[in-house]
Amino acid sequence: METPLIDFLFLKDAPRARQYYKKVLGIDRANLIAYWPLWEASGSNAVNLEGTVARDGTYSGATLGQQGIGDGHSMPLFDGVNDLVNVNSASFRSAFNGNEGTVAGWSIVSGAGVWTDGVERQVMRFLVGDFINFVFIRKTTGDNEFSFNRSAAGVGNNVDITLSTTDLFHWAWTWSDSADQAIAYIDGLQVGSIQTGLSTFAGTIASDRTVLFAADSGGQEPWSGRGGHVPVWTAPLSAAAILDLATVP
Amino acid sequence: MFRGYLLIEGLPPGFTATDRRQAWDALHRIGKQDTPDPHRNNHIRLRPDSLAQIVEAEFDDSEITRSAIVAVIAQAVGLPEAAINATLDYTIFAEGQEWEQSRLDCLVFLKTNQAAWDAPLEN
Repeated sequence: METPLIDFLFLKDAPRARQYYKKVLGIDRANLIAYWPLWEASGSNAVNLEGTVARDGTYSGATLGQQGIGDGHSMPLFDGVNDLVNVNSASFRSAFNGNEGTVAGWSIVSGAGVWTDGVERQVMRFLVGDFINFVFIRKTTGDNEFSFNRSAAGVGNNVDITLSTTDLFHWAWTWSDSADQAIAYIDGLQVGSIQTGLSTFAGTIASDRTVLFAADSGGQEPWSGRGGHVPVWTAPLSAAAILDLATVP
Repeated sequence: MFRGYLLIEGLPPGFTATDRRQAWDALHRIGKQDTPDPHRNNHIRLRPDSLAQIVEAEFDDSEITRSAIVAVIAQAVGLPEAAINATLDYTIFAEGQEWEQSRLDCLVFLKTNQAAWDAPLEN
């Protein structure tokens, strides 16, 4: 009898290791459309632990197997020049919901100087080709500024915060057109004010702009540092769930 | 063996978009392609105006000489090597040194030329 991948990992991993990814998988599973732990030690495939193989990602240039979040697994290092994880797939792009959703993940900069290097660096970017419907999270060109962004039909909702940590940090962004709210979180706690006045997202995110840790598949605006454990839901998670995501058991 | 970053710019000004695409695609095929380590395999960053490209990989030294790069481009677009060589600007960041120095030199270059290399701001 085949052992499903998830059960194999459960049997294989140390108790602490099996808890974090299982926690992610246990949060609003019905609305989880992708979860890339980015914990591979080698190879080009970035597995989608949600289970839809068609939504696996592809590493471009990242140095795999680096220090992780403390869950017993590793994370990749992105060189700040052209490394990224391409998560484009027809399956993911059609499942993504720009009107109701959550995206989260972990990141750490490669050095303190990244926060003042004057370069825009993305941790995730899902953008429709019209450039007026998008969700992205980035370090901006401003010193020590980290920004959560959603635009729908050209109506933008942003949360910009001051951030200069050289420690690992958790980011999360939730949006709901129906509830007219978008909320940003760092390390499990809300940052900035609840955004309102959301507009309705339209269009399918573009195949060359469905990327983690860069702006597009061409390697623009790449992250400099490590990053991983990126899940995406088609519903806004609660504050309690976000706090849970930001906690490594 | 060299693992690091190359900058190629200065394709002939008369190149069409198709010519440039052929040239850039050809440079995507040098260096390691399919190792288990993504950071050793060829990956690129194209300048937003498509007139320059950074290529990173682990390369055999012989494939990253100027003459070798010229030959790759010339063969891809079907032109004499002299035509490519006449305009090509080619840089190996930290040639002969370790990858980290090549990366740092490339980052300095990108910072210095940020306006040309960063994507246009949206909204």
